[in-house]
Amino acid sequence: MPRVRPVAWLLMLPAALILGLLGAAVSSMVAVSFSGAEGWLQYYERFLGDPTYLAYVWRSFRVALYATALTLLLGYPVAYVMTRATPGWRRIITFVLVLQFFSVNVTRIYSLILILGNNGVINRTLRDLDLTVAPVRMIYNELGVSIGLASAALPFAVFPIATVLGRIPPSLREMALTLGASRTRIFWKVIFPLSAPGLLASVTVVFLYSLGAFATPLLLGGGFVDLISVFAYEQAINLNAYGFAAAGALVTLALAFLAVYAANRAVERWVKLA
Amino acid sequence: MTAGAIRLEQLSISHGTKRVVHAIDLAIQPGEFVCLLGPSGCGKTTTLRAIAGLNRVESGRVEIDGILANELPAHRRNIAMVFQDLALFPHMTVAQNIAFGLALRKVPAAETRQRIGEMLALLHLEGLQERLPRQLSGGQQQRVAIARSLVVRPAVLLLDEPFAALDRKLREEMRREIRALQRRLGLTVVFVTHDQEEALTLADRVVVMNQGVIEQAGPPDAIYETPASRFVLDFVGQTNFLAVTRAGEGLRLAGEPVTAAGACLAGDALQIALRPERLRIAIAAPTLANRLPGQIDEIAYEGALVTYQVALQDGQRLLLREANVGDGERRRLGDRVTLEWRAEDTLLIGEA
Amino acid sequence: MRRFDPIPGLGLTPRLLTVAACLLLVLPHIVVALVSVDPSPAAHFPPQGFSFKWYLNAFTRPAFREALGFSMLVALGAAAIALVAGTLASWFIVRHRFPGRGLVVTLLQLPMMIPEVVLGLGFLILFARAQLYASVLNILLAHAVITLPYAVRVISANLQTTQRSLEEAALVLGAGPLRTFWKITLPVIQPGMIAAGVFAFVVSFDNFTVTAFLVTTRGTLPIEIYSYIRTESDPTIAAISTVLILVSLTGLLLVERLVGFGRITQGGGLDK
Repeated sequence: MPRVRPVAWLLMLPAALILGLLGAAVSSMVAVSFSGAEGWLQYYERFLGDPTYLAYVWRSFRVALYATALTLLLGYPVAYVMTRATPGWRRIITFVLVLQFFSVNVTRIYSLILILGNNGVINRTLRDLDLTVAPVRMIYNELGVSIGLASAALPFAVFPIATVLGRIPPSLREMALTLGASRTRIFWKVIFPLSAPGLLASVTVVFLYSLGAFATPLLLGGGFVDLISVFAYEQAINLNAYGFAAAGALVTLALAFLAVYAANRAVERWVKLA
Repeated sequence: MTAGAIRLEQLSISHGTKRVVHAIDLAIQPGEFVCLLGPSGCGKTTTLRAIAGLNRVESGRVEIDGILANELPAHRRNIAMVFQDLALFPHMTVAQNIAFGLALRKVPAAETRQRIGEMLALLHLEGLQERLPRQLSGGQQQRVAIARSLVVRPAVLLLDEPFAALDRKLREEMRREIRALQRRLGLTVVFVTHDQEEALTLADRVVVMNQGVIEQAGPPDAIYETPASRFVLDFVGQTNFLAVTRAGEGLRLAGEPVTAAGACLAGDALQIALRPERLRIAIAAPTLANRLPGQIDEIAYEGALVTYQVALQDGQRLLLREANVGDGERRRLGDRVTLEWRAEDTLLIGEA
Repeated sequence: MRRFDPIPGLGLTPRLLTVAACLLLVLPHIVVALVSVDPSPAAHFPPQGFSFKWYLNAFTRPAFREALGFSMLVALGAAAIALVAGTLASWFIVRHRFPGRGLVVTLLQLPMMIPEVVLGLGFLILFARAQLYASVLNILLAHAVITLPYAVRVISANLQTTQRSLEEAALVLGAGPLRTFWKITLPVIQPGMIAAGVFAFVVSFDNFTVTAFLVTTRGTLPIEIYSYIRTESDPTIAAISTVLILVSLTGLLLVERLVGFGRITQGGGLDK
């Protein structure tokens, strides 16, 4: 690698300006959150002191966890199948995932309402078959929001795992096979621990994505699953309370980074033990 | 010690629609060290993997110790394999890697510890049991891979070009070691390589493969001295192929008569084949059956050996190799010399 | 005798879960396409007739037309900015080693790691404090931030797979660094740049959360679609969804032809 000439740093200038914008946004948000008229911690005290506000945080974490679990329950097998499938199947699965990424999220949520809603495809079919009287509630609750988030987050979850799985040499499987390990054992003792870095990357991305989601809880939550985004939007846009909105969002962000950090450490320790 | 016999009968294997092994037959005795030698794509690794149970057999039989093993899962074949990339589990320590196969055989903890200890001693890995593979040198990684395979006490050890990535010195050391281990444990070893020197120095028997068939199987000296085909002659060692013409009963090379008393092999054109080290530069009056004038047009000084390229009068070139014994005069580019060689060292390749 | 498979393939569980995942992703599009041609405003499935009236409704409503134009403008602008900044930054971090490089790599990925609600609120507060009320420009700038990591990711992955020796050969032959970048590097990573541009465009076009915090009077297409879903229940949105998915499908096949999916999906390009 050549020595970095000072002029080469100019290449970073456009990206630095963009990141500077991000820095300005975050820091002005932090500044506003500490600018309470009745003391610099005013907004934080109000937010942390009131269970109705804290409920937004816990709900956000709960739903983000459900969504992450659901996404990985589906996403990990997809990644696993992709790395072992024939090239033809791999292309088909990749196509489906990329198409998901290329479609507009709001329209996808709309189609989920058409299918899962109280008057949707599934409920109407159940009713026509006389299996149910009242509609089965699949949306307007935390489950519905989780399904919506999972369907949007699947591509993000699959590709990091597939990348890591694809790098595991096939000889490791075959070696374990010649030593007498069963398919299940090979998976849990060799493949799964080695895929931990990809899994962790997926968990992080999906969790943080779900935590900050807005359209999905609005449309699939039906007012019953208001996440921190709904709180922030109402406070900032409807009540013009920027400082309070910022305090709530920053508390959630801090807890989220803490959770991600803890997960990272836990997985690191676990992989070392395995 | 009778375990470890392998028998391949009319074995054919395809990858998709491409057939890579064509109806080969091979019997390996218990305790034998066999090298499968051939260029890449010749089917040697595929054959090895079929013995290991990692490739589906298309037709024919794989027998291990007299039992049909075509459908037998890998771990019930009494074999162990060392892969080209070693396949060490990167997230496990040396001890955990070695213990992997023992745990699957439900070996009790105390015995596991003892057998790991034996393996560490046998392969000079003492003190490294808590290291991760990436913390080991290339040679140590090799030893761990071998230890992990041997700890389950297989009768057959299969190795797929395990030393290809090592530098020359380490490679030679590992060869000596694997040979010593094989003798000591009475193992049957099947060793895949594309390196002819490795095959010749290691094996009791060399199996030369090309395009999915066995060209020749035999002890190293037989492979070298009496090759069964032009391919073997060309692939193993260095050979001069020279076009000759028929003149009545005899042969002529560059206008001079030559006699060929060696083996006769099938080929596309009428040629004679000569090993470079069987050629001599005549110093006094030539004494051997064949002689030919030529001119040195290139010299490669290799230390212990010196190789000359000699141009014949008809423009064909051949290589001649001499031991650098230090008592003769040093030859120079452009020197006119007389080559001589024995009739027995002259192999004839006839048109098919 | 049961034929023993010496090479155990995939288990049944992963196969079933994969099928379930693909159904979850594909079925909604099919349902929507069918609902979009149903003439009744109650969004019937399966459709009980055939009509293009919801398509007509979607195209004749000025709100949607304007929103589409707005979205295109923002997405093209954001993608262009992200592409230029991303290409230069990627070239810098992939081809240079310097202290703090890991930090730079992390910073470039940071916008992806911050929940969107935080970004949206942050930009809202920033622009309010700076007294910038030009909605288009604000949204464009915010989108440039959120699309940058995608551009960097795709282009870095691409740069890493192209041989550095190509550039070195050009340098040895006497081409200056700028000429080498222009004549060798750019043409070689061009497919990756196309993929990165498309990616950035899609990320911006699709964005709802950040945009929602910044819109004033005019909304982007996702915002308009959202408001329509909140107030109406007829299949106009199904018609729009179907058109959008057909456009995506065409674009995707085009990208696949031009550059292949490999370049899009390789995400592990950035080693720290």
